[in-house]
Formats: sequence, C-alpha cells, structure tokens
Amino acid sequence: MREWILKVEGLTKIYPAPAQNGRICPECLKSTANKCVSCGSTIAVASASFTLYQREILGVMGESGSGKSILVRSLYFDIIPTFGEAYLNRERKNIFQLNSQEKRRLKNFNMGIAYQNPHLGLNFDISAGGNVAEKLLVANWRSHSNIRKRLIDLFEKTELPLNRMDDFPSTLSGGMQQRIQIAKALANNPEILFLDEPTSGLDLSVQARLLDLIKEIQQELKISMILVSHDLGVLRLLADRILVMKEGRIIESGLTDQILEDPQCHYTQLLVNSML
Amino acid sequence: MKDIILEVRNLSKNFNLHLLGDKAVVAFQNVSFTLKRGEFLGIAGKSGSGKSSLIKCIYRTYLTTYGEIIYYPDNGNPIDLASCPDEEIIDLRRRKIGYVSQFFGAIPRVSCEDIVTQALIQQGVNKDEARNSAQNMLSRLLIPKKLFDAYPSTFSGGEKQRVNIAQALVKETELLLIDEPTASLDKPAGDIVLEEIFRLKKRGTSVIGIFHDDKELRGFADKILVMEGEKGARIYENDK
Repeated sequence: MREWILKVEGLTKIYPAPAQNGRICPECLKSTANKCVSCGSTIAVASASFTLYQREILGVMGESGSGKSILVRSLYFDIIPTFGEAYLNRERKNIFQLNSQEKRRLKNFNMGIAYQNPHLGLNFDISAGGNVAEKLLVANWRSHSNIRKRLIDLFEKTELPLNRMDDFPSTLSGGMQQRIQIAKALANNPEILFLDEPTSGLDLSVQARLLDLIKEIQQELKISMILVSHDLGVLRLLADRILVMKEGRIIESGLTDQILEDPQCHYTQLLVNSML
Repeated sequence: MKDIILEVRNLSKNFNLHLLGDKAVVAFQNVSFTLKRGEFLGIAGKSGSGKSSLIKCIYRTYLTTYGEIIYYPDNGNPIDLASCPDEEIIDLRRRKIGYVSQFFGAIPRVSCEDIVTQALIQQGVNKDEARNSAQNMLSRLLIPKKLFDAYPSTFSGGEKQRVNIAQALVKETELLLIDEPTASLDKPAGDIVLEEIFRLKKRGTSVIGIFHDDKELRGFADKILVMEGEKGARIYENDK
C-alpha cells in the first residue's frame, strides 16, 4: 500500500463573534452547525481529519461556505487554524507549530497552491514570468540564464505562450492566469499541490485543457494533490477519492465512483442526484 | 498459495434513500459463495435481482451493508474487500482486480490507445511495452488501427464498449469482474470478446461475470449463481 504524505487531525477553524473579543466559548466545540448557538462564533471548519496518500488526487466537494477553501488554505498557512495538527512525510512535528521561517520553507519547497481567485496567488504588479521567477528566487536560484531556462520549461509544461512571459497578469486571460499560478506552484517541484476551484469561471474548452494539464502533471511529476471543486464532473475525472464537506464538517469520504454511485449521507445523495 | 481466491459470506446490500424519507431498498440479501482460482462464476437472475449490485459491492463502487468479501491475493494476507481502507482498494484495482462496466464513461480528449496504455502503466508496466500490448489488445478486439488515436467519445456504441473491455482485459488481473460485456455488441464482436475472456481464464484469471444470454452463460461458466434479490441466491455447478 502507498505511503501517506500528509496527515491532518482535528483541524478546526473558528472565527469568534465580535462580542467575544477574539475568544471562543466551550459551546463552540459542541456545536453541530456553522454558528455556535451560545456565543454566535462562526465555525468554518470543525475537527476535520483525513490523510493524503502519495501520488493521489484527493477531491474535496461541498457547497459554498462548507469550509473547503479554509481547509486548504490552513494547510498552506494562509490561515491559522484554531486547533488541529498536520504532519508531512512521516515527520513527527505538527506543521502548524513550526516557526514562520520553517513554514515559509515548506511553502517554497514542499507545497504549491493555485487559488480560485488569481489575485490571491499572483502579484499583478510584476510580469507573468516575474511571478514564477519570484518563487525560484526564494529557492536561491541566482543565475539569470538558469532562471530563464526554468521559466521556459515551466511555461511549456503549462502550455503558456512564451511570448506572453513579460506581460502583466492583468493582460492575460483567466485561463492563462490559472496556468501561471500552476507554473508558479510547480516551480520548485513540490510534493503537494493544492488546487482551489481551479476551473470555475473558465469557459469549457479552457477548462478542459486545464483538466488535461492537471492530470498530466499528476502522472508525470507524481505529485499528490488536494483538489477543491463543487463541480462533480471535474472530480469524477480527476479525483481518486473524495471528501464531502458540509457546514465545516467532513460528512463522508470514499472512492470517487463510490461517492458518486452509492452516497450515504442525505446531503451527498441530494448533491449527486442534482448532477446534470 | 490458497486455491480459493474469493470467499463471499452472507453479503447483503441495502440502499437507504434519504431523499425519499429514508426509504430502504434491498438490492440483494444473504449471498454466499466461494470462487476458486481460475474458475468462472456466471451470475444469472431477473433484472433487478441484484446482479450488478453484487459485482459493484465486490469492486467497492457500492458499500456493502452486511457481510464479508474475503479476497486471497496470490501473495500476502487475505483482505476483506467490504471493509478494507479505500487506499487498499485503489491499489488492488490498479494491479489485481479488473472491472468491465455495463456502460463506458468515456474520458474526454484521451485517445483510445492512451486509455488502454494508461491502464497498464498504472499497473507498473513500462511505457513501450504498455503501448505495444494496448495496440495488440485493441486489434484483437477489432478496433480499426485508424481509430487508435481518436477519442472514444466519437465512437459507435459497440466500439466504445470494446475499448472499455480492452482496458480491463489488457491488465490480465487475478480477478476479473464483468457486467454484461457483450450486451451492446453484435454476434461476431461478442464472440471475440468471449474468446478473449476465455483466453485470460486459461492463463489463470478468475472471472465473475453477468451475461444476459443464457446460452453464453451455460457455455462458459464453471458455476452459476442465481440471484433472487431479497430471497438470497442459489449456486450450482454447471455441467457444460
């Protein structure tokens, strides 16, 4: 059996209600909905536990507001979780407790992310190539010609036109912006790629090429991925397994074909039955 | 090596339809049988008697409600397919257990040759050898060479089904599950598919298959399991 690469235990993110002065109440943890009945704090993710195995694509599905993005962005250290542990590569240390330098190292070398909103993932004040090069610079790439070579390599891999390398992201199409995010994420050969709704808002042909690209990357580079999507078609095509989230909780998980053909929870049955 | 490959004990599958006020639907109940290595088990029964559901439970497309599906790999410890972790199933599907579904969900923009090649690469076969075997298999299943680099979504129903069969058979897995592989094929194509399945059986693959044609079933199966939905199932030796 394959080895795991990321293990998450009890990941919880609670946004305290304004009146709570940044604190949560004991009732928050017993709550079963998005809002704590006692103090009104928002429970974005409640005690999520799962394992990501090597070379697998793990899909996360659920309605908007179910905590999918918060889950992924906590793992990329964009958001500080309220509770929880996560372990990488069989190392004993909870990655949430690393210092900021160690976290940055993981973000630069072990992980990559593509956000649904390119404005989160790209710096719009520098060129497309510059965005990718930034990631190489933090990994101590210094030779200009080597960086240029690597950029060409990454642009080719993600099917970006080379003659757009020096253009600003704002002048590129949505599909290209997503590709630049992916090129940037792949720059330092990460072990894990987080994809947060990579295809939403793109037209069908662009979406299709992006899906092909993701599949190719996974097969060639053997990267593990967490793919957040509310599009069941995308998940059916790409994911090996699926986690279903509702109101911040993972309500069920299973093999992709099993979740789609024999869903167990009320919500998942509703979702699958609503599929076009 | 144990001479039994699969042991199904008191297997039941119920669906709980939450959208219809938690209505319970029984697919089948209390099915038990053993399958020896290299044996061919045919599944018979009326439509709605749980034939496909049984195969899907073995493949984990459906979760088993009660019972055990003990699989004895050629090396290693027995595994209960009804309760083992998903990761283990993914691994078994790549290397040990093949499945031909009734319908082929075509993967968009992947050529039929690549689909079949991919199946072998996942199993650990190297690229060139995989491509070679894939082409051979497609040719044997009468897919014209000029279609090898075409997308199956543009194929006829029968061609699609043969690509579907090719990607499962090419792996020469220990266990093969087939759900009406010949239903959408004409007689000559159907006969070739059956020949291929039989060739695999001769090489040691154990087969569990649903055939709607009674003649096909009786011609091939070593044992026949007659599914009767809620009333369970009967198994008997088939004297060919």
